[in-house]
Amino acid sequence: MRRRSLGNAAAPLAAVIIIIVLMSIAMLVAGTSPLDGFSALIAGSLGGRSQIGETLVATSALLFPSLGIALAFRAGLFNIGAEGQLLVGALLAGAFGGSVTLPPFLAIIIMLALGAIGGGLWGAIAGWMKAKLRANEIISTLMLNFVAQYVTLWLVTQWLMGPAAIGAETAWLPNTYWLPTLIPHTRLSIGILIAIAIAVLLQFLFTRTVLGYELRAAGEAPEAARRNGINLPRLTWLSLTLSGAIAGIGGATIVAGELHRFNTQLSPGYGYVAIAVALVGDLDPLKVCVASFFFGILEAGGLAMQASAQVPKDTIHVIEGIIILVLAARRYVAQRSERVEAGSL
Amino acid sequence: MKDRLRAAFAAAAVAIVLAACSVHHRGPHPGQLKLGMVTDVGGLGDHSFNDSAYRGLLESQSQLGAYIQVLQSRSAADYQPNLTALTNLHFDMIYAVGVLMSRDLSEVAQANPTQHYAIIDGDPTAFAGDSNVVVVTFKEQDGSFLAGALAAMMSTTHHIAFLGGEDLPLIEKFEAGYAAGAREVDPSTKVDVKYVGSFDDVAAGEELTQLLFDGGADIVYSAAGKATLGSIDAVRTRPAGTYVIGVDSDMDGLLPGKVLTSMVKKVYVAVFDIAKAIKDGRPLSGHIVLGLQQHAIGLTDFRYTRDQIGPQRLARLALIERAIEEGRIVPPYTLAGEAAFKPVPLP
Repeated sequence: MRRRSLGNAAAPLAAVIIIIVLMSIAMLVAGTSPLDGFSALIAGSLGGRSQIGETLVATSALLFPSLGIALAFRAGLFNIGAEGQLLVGALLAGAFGGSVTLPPFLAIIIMLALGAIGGGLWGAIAGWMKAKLRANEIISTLMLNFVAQYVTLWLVTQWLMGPAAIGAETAWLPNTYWLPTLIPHTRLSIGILIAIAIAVLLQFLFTRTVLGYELRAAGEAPEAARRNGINLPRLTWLSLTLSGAIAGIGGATIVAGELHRFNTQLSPGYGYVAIAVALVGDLDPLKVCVASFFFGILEAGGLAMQASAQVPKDTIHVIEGIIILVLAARRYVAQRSERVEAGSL
Repeated sequence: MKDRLRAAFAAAAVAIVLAACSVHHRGPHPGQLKLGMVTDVGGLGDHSFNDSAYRGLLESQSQLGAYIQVLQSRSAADYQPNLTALTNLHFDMIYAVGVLMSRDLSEVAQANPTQHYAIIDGDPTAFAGDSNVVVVTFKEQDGSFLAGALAAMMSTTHHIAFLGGEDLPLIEKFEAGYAAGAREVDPSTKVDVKYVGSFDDVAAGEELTQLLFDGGADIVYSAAGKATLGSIDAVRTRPAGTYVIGVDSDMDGLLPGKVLTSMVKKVYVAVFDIAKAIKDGRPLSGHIVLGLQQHAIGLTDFRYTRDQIGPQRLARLALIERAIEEGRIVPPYTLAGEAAFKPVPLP
């Protein structure tokens, strides 16, 4: 037991070291000194108010879906569908905010709630398919991303397009519906505080509640959980619904906090990068916050790195992909060896 | 096992440090003209609008010695971070390529009043108060009028079609010019119209082009940015005498003989001129409009389709071109203007 917890603490750190080593190699391949590359990366992400603002905007956008993914993973479910859940949540929030007149405070609350409902609904579909039809959630959540992408595009171009819209997007939210800015003269909204609050809530859920215990049990020892009377199908759809709802709130905060309208191309793939973030954060809500900040630095600093040190920003995405592979393989190996150990007992 | 791993890590670290020392600094030199560009979601490699702008950047690099950098946008959420990243690095000029970035650029430009920006195809009214933004627009209706005239001359079914990217006022200029040009040579020509709903969905571009061909049109003018590549895929398997007309960059070589011509928008001319003005210390501002008269808009040289078109049609096209340059024909840029357009008799 002790060895295992030690391994868990070391994993994120090892991941970060691997990322830095891989990035150094990538920079050398690109013909840039890693020193130049990293100094551009740090200056571009933390070197001033505007830079820190952009880093935290990216952090916030990644944190919501990562927390959702972490929740599902802890319950033993691979939710690859955060991208679609985020998109559906964002669409409901944007469609509502761009067309309804209400007192601002109420409108903001409803937009966030609609984000949760949209994302939750999208997650629930996969949950229902898994619980009732035994459909593999990896496939169904992934495929639902594409459904979300095209359904939102269709809805926006058919009915929800704003009157002065350039591109496939809804009408802009009135200024009063915008989430308040957290750091003046940046785009950072208070959305990030909501994300951190959700992380704290999740930590409480996992460590202090019966539901959290059941979720962990379903994830770590489903057979034992079932024998002890835990209703696994119920937990399946519940965890995917909650997971989607968190990603959906993230979508709503992007709409209400930064873009101020729903655009069908609102996410550059946050829901996919978030898988890496959740794994680097070891599926622990508080560590996921730190991991999101780390990836936020890469996202925002990567642009400066490309612009002033000629290292393509895409190297960062390549490395993120490698990290997913490494960490997923590590979990897989760990699970197998545990099973082997359990079998030999 | 663990020791061996550690040793490997240490060796890797030493190797990286050693390699690092031997690499030269690749950023901009002090005093070098720094030009940045943010693409829209079509990105580089669209054989269209973004590539044309990039060509202007490359010319600035070779002729003005500029340090150039392109940040590509994968989504609408990337526009502001990309613009902000270049702004924070104090580039001398930052180009926002595409109308989709109008509002984002306006926000960034207002927050950074001393930074110079240029937007290609921007809505000039959106930047009326921003003296640090130069807006470049093109008279796409001029070239589209020629494309429509040529299509109507070439069509054996008297039935041609238009495929737009997104239904925006910008693309309306293409559609209006094209339909009016067709009417100029043959008022009985039927013009079908469809829109992809995006500038980067190549698959949808192909599908809709197939539909337009199936509907009886034998020439499709595809003003859909990168999605135009899908239209070119669609014409590949169609019989001879069926054509696509490309857009923005010269796409004729992508499928020789099947791309009738391309309506070329020389974005690179504008990009280079703006860079040169900055280098000369007299930055341009306000609204620049480029059309046939400025040689910034026009059709290609028909190098693969010249024989199929034939000298008679080319001569007639040249007459129309001269009439536009001289202002005797004024191609409409709105659908209302198109409806009111009356063919101008030419000798």
